Amino acid sequence: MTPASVPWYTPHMATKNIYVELTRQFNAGRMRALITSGQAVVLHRLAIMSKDGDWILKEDPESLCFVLDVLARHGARYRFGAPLDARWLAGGWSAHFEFMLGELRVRTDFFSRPPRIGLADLEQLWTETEGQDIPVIDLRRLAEMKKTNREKDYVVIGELARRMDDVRDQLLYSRSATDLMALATAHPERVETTAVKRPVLSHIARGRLELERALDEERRQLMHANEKRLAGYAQAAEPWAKEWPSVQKTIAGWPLVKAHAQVVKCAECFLPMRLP
Amino acid sequence: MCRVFLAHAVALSLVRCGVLTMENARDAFLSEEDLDLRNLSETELYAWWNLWLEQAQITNDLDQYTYSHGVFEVDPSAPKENDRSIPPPSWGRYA
Repeated sequence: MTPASVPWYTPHMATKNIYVELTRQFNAGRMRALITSGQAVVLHRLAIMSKDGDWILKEDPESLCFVLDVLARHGARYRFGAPLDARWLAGGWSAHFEFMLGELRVRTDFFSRPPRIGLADLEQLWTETEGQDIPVIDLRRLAEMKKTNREKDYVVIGELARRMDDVRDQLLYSRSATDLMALATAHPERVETTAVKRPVLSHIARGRLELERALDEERRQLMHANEKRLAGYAQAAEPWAKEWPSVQKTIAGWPLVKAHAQVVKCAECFLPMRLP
Repeated sequence: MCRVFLAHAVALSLVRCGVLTMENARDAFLSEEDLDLRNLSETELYAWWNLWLEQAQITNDLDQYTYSHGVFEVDPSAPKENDRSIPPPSWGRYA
């Protein structure tokens, strides 16, 4: 395939990417956002497998306002979700937008409390990424976030683990029985201590077949745990989901900042800020 | 830019022929093409990334009402099966 055979190809494609550009725009002047999920997987040079952009945002009002303004300049509109407001983001909710960039549909998803990452670890993440040109979540925390209810995310975790430098992290995140057995042979003392945090490691000594069964079981447990987590949000969002078509109709055609005020006003009545 | 794509094609063929060293055979989570992103320059990565995004637009109708991340899974505006009375969202720039 050459550029000449791709009619919509333009030279600028090799120097800019919308998700990287958005990250730079979000962080103009100070750090407010870091790339995570699918586009972080690209920046870690693993695979290109996602169309949408996801960012972890700082929860302060200035950051959220600034990001909203950037989105407004791109002509973004709200998708169904929580308002881009710290009161909901702090409750683990996510805010979703999309806009068109030529023929490209750009989706931007935001949250400030990534699942399975504690507050202290999150603070440390902000410290570690401060000053980076394109702040991106690190391998370990990305693997933690990837413990979803989607089979394909465990494939990514497996490859992320192979890129990790720290043996303990490899033991905690590897999805490969052969990799784990090799690590156990090279670092037997680390397996025992790490098994406290990841019980599946205690199956290494039982041989490959048993370990593979344990890994499969672990994956199912993680998927079920995330399903349960999402079910809580889905239930809490039911009144908001019923109200949303009406909200969407109201804000259709509005500038984003005006639409945001309306979304907030309506969400205050229909979307709990925290799960009970 | 032709050199970018040609370089990538050459790299892939060298990997397949075993000329470029590969990790020992073990559990394969992703394909060689996926993992070959590491061998790309920044320019090449952006070129492939943008090309992939452009090509992926073909599935926009299929995932119009779904979410890939966050705590929401389906847009409640999604038409029920066989209900085509709800039009797709219209676009306009407000900036």
